[in-house]
Amino acid sequence: MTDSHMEEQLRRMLAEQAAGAAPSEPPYGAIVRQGRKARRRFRAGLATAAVVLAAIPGGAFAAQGEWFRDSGSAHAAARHTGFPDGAGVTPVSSPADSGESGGTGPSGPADPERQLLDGITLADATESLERCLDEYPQDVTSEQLRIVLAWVSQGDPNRGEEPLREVLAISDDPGGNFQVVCSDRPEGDLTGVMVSGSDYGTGLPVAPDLNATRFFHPTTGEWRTPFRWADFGLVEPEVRRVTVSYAGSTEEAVLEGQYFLVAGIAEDQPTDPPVVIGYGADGEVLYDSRQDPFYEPGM
Amino acid sequence: MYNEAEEAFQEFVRSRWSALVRTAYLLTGDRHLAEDVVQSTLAKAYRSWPRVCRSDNPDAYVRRMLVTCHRDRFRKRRVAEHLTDIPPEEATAQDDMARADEREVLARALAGLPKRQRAVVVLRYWEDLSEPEVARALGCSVGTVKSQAAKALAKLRVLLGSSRLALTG
Repeated sequence: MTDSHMEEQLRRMLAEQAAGAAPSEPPYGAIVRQGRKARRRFRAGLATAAVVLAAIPGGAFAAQGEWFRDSGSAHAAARHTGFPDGAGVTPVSSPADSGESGGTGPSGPADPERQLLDGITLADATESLERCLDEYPQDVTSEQLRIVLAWVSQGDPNRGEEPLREVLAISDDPGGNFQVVCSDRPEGDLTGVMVSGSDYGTGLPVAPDLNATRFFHPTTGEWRTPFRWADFGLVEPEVRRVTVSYAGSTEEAVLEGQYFLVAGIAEDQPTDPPVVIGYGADGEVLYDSRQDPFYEPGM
Repeated sequence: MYNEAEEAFQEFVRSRWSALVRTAYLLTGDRHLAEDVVQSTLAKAYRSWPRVCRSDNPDAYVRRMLVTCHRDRFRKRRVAEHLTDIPPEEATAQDDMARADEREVLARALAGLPKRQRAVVVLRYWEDLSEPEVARALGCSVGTVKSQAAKALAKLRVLLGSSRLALTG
């Protein structure tokens, strides 16, 4: 049987299969209640995070983005923040009002010079992140996230040869468990989004993110040097310093929001995977990736 | 503004509910679960309705949300996946019996696919999306869609081909 015949048969069988599902009437009331509940939960979470960051009077928070009549939620958020009704709070480092929705956008990194690389501005990174979330909706909005690393990576035969803007964002709420890496071409197609939780569960003081391995080396195709690489992962509070040695140099990672974040340039093609070392307050080695049974750098 | 948006959302739910449930059914293999996933998806759509409306294609936007909801459900809860909910067999004529058998075999064959391959099959051959559209819906490259579709078809050919059913053409 040819592929096209197989496909034709499959379409028919799927249609017949789906027809057997016989959906009931849509539970419109339940959908709306669930949507409103999720909205209130989001607003309460945002308010909690916002209090940690800063308090700016204004009213933007209470006024933002409501299309449905759910006045109780705005009041609940105001109570939660400790601000009176009508007063608002917003994260400090948001780049700009995002327009129609009245959103404030994601927070920016603690050390932009070391975390926004290759000429990427916070506005650029925000644009890419919001484009990702528009294209691939998640349980979070950009307002709930903090951009912690942005860099330009090489393209490849699979994703296209033009350079890509990579943006790593994490939950702005310290208790959150969400991270996303957006791969974007501002002048072209969005090429992908990689979402994961940030609880790797290794129990070690440093946990390099297994998803970061794709940023060490070309995912497909040949090496082209110089090569911009990036790495990130989680650190426990007792870790005060992280270094990553790769391609003949050692880079000092930024520690922010329970993450280590680092990027460098490989002038020559490396032969060994990155070595991640975590140090304690007295300079003692708390973690060495060479002794980590969970570390699978894939090189 | 409120009334217009609310009415537009209500109309969207009314007109798209059945199609979304059918897609979810093919993804999950369970009618009740399919309705749950679609309900969660539409609740999220309600929360982000202005953004959904601003998108070029609200249908495609919500379909992506549906795929994400389905994927997250398995990722977060590690729910074991068993496609056991076979549509009721109402027919008694021989042809209809054969079709019911065919649906049962297809249900089992779909259940035998990894969930990403099943999603590719459902979006590509039931929703009739193009490869780039499937890639956008699943958050992967077109190359991945092609390879996953090829693997899925090869598996289905084996799973379905071993039965006496319609794929003998």
